[in-house]
Amino acid sequence: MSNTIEDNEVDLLIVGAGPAGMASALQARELGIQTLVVDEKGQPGGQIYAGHHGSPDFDRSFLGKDYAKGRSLIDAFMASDCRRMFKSLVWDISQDGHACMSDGSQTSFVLARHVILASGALERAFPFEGWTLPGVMTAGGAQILLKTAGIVPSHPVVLAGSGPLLLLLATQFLACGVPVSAVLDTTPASNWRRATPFLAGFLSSRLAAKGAAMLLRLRASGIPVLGGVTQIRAIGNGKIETVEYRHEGQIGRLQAETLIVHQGIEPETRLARVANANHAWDARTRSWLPACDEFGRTSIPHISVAGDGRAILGADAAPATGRIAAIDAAFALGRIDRDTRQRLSDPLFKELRRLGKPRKFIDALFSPFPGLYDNLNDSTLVCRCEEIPAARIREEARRSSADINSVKSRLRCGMGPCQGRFCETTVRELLLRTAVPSCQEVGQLRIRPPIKPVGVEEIISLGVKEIPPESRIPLEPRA
Amino acid sequence: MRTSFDAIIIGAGIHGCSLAMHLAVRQLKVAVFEQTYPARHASGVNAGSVHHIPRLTAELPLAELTLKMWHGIKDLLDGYDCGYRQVGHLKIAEADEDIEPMHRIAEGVERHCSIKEVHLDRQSLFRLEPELARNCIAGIFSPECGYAQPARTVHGFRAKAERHGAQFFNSSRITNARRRGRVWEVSTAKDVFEAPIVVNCAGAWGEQVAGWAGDKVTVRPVALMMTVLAPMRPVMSTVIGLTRRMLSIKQFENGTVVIGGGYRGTPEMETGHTTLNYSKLGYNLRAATEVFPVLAQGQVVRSWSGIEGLSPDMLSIIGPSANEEGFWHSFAHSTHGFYLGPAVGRVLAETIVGETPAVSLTPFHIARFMSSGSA
Repeated sequence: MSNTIEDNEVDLLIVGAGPAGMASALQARELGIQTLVVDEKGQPGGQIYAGHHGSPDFDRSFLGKDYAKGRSLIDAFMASDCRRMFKSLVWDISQDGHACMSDGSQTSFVLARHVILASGALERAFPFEGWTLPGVMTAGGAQILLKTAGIVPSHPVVLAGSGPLLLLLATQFLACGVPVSAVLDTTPASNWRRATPFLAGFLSSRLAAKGAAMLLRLRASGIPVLGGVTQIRAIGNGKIETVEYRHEGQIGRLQAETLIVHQGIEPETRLARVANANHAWDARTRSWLPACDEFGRTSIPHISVAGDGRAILGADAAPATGRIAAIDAAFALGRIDRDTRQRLSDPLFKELRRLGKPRKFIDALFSPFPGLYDNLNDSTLVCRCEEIPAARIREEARRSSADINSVKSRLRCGMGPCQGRFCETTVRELLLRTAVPSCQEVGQLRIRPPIKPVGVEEIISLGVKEIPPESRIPLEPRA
Repeated sequence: MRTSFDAIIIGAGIHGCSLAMHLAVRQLKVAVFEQTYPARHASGVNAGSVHHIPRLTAELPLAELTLKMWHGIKDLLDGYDCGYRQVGHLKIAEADEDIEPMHRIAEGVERHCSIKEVHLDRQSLFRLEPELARNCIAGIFSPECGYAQPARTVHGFRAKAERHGAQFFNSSRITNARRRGRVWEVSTAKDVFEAPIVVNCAGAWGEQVAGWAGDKVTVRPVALMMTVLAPMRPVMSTVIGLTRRMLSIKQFENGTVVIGGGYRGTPEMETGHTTLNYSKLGYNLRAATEVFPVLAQGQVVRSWSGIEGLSPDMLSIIGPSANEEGFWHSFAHSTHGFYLGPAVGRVLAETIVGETPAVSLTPFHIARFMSSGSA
């Protein structure tokens, strides 16, 4: 079957060209489904494989084998005959399958019979004193600069936080000669205790060897890796100058022009939310996940989720969830029967089970631990868009409803252009700690379209040109 | 033992909270039941305009009272200003044929109340709003009007009501109310509460609540769409409306611009979810840029809609039940609810406790929709 798209209608719309989206598209085309893949960025690969395609050429070998692995998937995706649209933002999806898609200057409607959201993940927001100073950035942000442009800091860097990405970035910096002053690991002993029961599953995976190798390389280089660090502060006048931290009861200080922080990642679910799909609280990762069946089908029958946007499983598992969602989409579109869906998916489910084994350990070890938000200073900004400090959120939680949308409507946190990308988790954790409601009572932010800002004229172009009759004001006064 | 109150209010929007405050300061023991949280729908997510709707002459006495109350809102709410800013409301004529009807509407206002209005010719119009499109030719300026922050306003009333002993029950949907002698039994899924007075402040959900008192009226739920633009340099100073077509634009102190006016999306009453209608929303933004061309350069941060109820004649339903003792209404405020909130709460409280109301509520009684047989 051909893959031409007429009248802006398509069988399958895949949002996101990371590992899940790309694998999903390949699977869909293998099943003969007309497919359109849309990604905000200018090239495929998502965050994890950014830079492989369409970025300046330079030696990326220092990024390691796992990064290099993305190349073959990207090549296959770019060689496939699915339709690709880059630098395009899907900013709303309605329950009837209409997607609003902007190329940056124009928005058009796409009517998709099925949608797979492969929107990936976001770094977990983690405010601390001084986090808004220039010179403080997230590990994800630093990695994108590294992968796409080879931009690295030239002066000593401090890395602080918790999570695999932090260690990976440290070794990548090491490999390309960036001076790293220290790695301040904030993973607390309590997380190690929670993770230990799942150690066997982790040790049997290749991730264990990878993690051990990263640690060994850091140790061998002489870079101090301090464990159990708390109370990170960035201090400086107009930009960061000093990183302060507490380690083994002592306050330590390091000169730094760059502080890179990271506290793990969580699913980016804004499109699933704007489409009004149900979500469920996941206590293990302390996040709301789109409620879906084993194939990734959400509560809205024509919308599925795949990859880290469904649940954090990592880049290795993402292609399998993407392929499963595509197989299920073929079933939903009536192209394959139920038995075929099962037969095609079974090997992928098996692969997912294998890849999922180390996950429990990793999730427990790097889950957002109590102290992370407990010690948040009252004056520290939580919502950067609207400049709202922690104290005001705590105050509101005590005063009235702890529903996060109610707090948003009173304080405006989550109303800015980021729609809570940088504050929702923090606000939720503060509410949970202050008024001690249930996660259900706090809920999740209602996301309003567009999920990212869009030009006024783009929305005008979607409208009628003549006044709708009921919007004409009757000119006669009434008794 | 059942919990009893002097008055039970169903719905914690602007009207439920305003009434709760006005009753609580009169020493009544008040309970407010809310199916989600205060200001969840139209009360909290409307555009915040504080100006009268001049075409509805029956509403003007109430409009006049409410405007005075807005001017004193900070004193009324013990120092909390609700973000109220008296920047004035400007109604614009876009074409010659608008001028005559615009003047006629202004005369109606002058005849029925003392709200001040200033007629502006083209020159004074542009002196007031220099960024207006050049095709605008005249205007009527109401300097006593302005805007407030909707969600904060509702919470300002709620907070004062609470300080005077009112109790708020969030996530508590009332499933039924029935009269036993002089007392009403009001049920949630879990509990039964009682009070001699029950007030229906359920907004777009008020039709069902009215049915518990045997009062029949058809309320049409609508989802009015609003859009906020990312902060811009100051481009307007007043709240803007037009004569011929629906439009409302205002710029807040933080530079954001809110555009609305009454263009409708689709409400879902069971879940509270609303869906935008882009063909109308697009027109809404087009109309805004036709009046303020500079807005075309703006970035849309969010569009949304809140659910509110329209009465059959677009006038609020306020006052006693047509059938039952002790059952009162204040709902279906038909897009004027936020503005009217402070006064309606006060006048209804006065009526309920037997004081002489500042304004007669007779034109708003639900009985007007019912044939003489059932009323």
